[in-house]
Amino acid sequence: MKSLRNQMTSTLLIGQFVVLVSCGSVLYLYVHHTLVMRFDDNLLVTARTFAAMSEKGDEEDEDGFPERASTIAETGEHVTDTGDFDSEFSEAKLAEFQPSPHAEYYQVWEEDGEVISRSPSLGVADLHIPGALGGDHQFFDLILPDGRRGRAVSLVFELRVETAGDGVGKNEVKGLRAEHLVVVIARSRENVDRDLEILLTGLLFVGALLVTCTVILVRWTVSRGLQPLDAVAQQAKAIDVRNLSDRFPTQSLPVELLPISQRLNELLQRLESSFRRENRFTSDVAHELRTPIAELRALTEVGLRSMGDPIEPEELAFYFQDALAIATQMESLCTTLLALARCESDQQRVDYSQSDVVAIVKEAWRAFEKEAYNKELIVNFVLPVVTILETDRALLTAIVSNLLSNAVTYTPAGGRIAVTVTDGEKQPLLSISNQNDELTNEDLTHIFEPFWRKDRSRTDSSHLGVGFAVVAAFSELLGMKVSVELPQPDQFNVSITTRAVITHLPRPNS
Amino acid sequence: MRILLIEDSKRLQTYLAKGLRQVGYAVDVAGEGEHGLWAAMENEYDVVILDLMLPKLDGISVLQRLRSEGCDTHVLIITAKDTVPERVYGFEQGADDYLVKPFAFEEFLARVQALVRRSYGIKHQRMSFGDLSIDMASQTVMRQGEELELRPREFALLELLALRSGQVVSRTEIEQHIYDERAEPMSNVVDSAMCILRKKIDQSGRPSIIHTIRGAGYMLRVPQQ
Repeated sequence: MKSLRNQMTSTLLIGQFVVLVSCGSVLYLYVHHTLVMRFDDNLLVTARTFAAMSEKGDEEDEDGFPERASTIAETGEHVTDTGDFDSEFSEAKLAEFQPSPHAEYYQVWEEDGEVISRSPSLGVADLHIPGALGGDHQFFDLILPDGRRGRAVSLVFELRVETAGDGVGKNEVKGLRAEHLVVVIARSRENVDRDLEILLTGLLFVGALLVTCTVILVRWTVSRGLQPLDAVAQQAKAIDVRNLSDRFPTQSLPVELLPISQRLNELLQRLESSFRRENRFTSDVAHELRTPIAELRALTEVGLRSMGDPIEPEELAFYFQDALAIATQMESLCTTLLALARCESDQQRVDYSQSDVVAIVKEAWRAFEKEAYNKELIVNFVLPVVTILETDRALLTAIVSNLLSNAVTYTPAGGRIAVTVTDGEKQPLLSISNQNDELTNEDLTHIFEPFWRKDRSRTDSSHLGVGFAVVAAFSELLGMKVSVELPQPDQFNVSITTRAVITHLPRPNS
Repeated sequence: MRILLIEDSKRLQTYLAKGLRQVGYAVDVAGEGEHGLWAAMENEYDVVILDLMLPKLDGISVLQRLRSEGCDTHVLIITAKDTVPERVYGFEQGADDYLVKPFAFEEFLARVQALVRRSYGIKHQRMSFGDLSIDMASQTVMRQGEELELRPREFALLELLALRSGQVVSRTEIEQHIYDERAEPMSNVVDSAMCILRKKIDQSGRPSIIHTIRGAGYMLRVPQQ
């Protein structure tokens, strides 16, 4: 499983390691280059000095060629210079070219490869000239005759050859003849190597120290940096159905996590509301379904237990009346639930026709007239003559009936109800306002939820709490919008607006 | 045995109370929480049957108030709330039993009877006093192997004396446990009921199993041989 902590730690460590190795390598190479370049410069200076301090006389052998340095094979002993090669360098007998543990070396060749001079430190050994010379000098590493690692420079230089008079030669210029010689100066590079070794050791030690410190620092930093995230993760892990009211902290949270925490809190708020709504719905449905069944079961079982007892016809009638009432209640529940289900699954049929809203209101009111009279309600109708709307008459009737039923049921005895139908253009098509001092603004957010009732005990079995859910579902089908408000603490308003075309027809003799 | 039924459904009130009365229980009914709490605190009930979704004061609040006031009457919750957390919460608040609606009346009755027995520390549903045996489940009384025909209230009277056998049960206690709020017992109704019960369960020529303790009440005790 991916771990943010491990990923960050490994990325940072690898990054730090690469940076350290790169920096160390660059530093090492730079110092190496500098040291070797200085070493080479010294070598070249020595070589050029050697060249400048060398000359050749006009002594020639019997064949007319200068006398050559004899070889070991010929002489049986080592010679440093031929007779005609003259170098102040060798004459100075510099200590560094004398045989010693720290000796340096030189060797001089003519163009044809004949050795004409060598340092005493070489003894019987020879240096060698690198294969291809690019330019007048070339540096190269070699193993010195005494076995040490060394570095050498080969320099091609022109040797001034003094001529006595009428010498013949193509390089001869005004009494001087030029000959190309090659000198190789070699010396131990122990000091450079030792310095580089010290540098490398230092770099490795510092690198190891830095890597160790980096590991500790990175792990600490990552852990510290991820602490707020860990805290959020722990809190998220602890959230379940029982503590949905908990919220993630937003104070003292890093700005990077603040949007996450705020978003999670919003989601929790919605989740909590959904769970509450779900629990309420489940509980309400359970009550609405279980209670009538419990009543029916108690009724029938107790009745059966009384079978042997004498029973009055009136008492028997009570049994049947109650059974019928329970059946009617359950039928109403089933019908409503099916209607809601049809609306939700877009299976509710809508038959549009020209319908008079005023007539629908008047017709629907008849069912509640008696109850309103008994409760001594003061009902005020503000109705135009006629308002024709292209709609489904049955669904609109159901909407109006539910709203009137709600108004009559929940208006206290002697209270007022106002029913207004307008042309629907600038005002709601239908408004019903009634006295009700029990509802709060919080209640209005639940009023369209199926089975929601202000009375949590749901004692009154004549209402299911689905009236507004049906109104909302049917209104949506008909393209209408239902809104509720509490303009005053004791007044509840529900209004319906529509986008449908409304026709106003004068009704003759009305 | 006297039972308080706190239930807001009129039909359940009617038929549960009717069924309980059929088997001899005295049943008081309350339709909302405040009335139910008041009744439970004012009277001595053997069992309180409590709905949870009640107007004015919900069932859980009634239960909490009962327990906080020191009332240890056994409480049977009847409700449509059937989830495990809801049941557990009900028990945690002091309920003695929990029954989810809808339920079989037989089961409801058995649970009420069990709670009644627990009120008196009795675990068995059958009690014997000499050759008199009382089966509280089937509500039958046998004497020397013969079943006696007792009316529900007579059985309730015998059951109360049996549950408290060896103890004196006062007339007031009998009135409280045998008659509900609908009844207006006359001053001598307990004596009359006791007289009828004695006639049915006693055998001629043998001392009565129910003793009158003068000035105190009655006691069911097997006579010494």
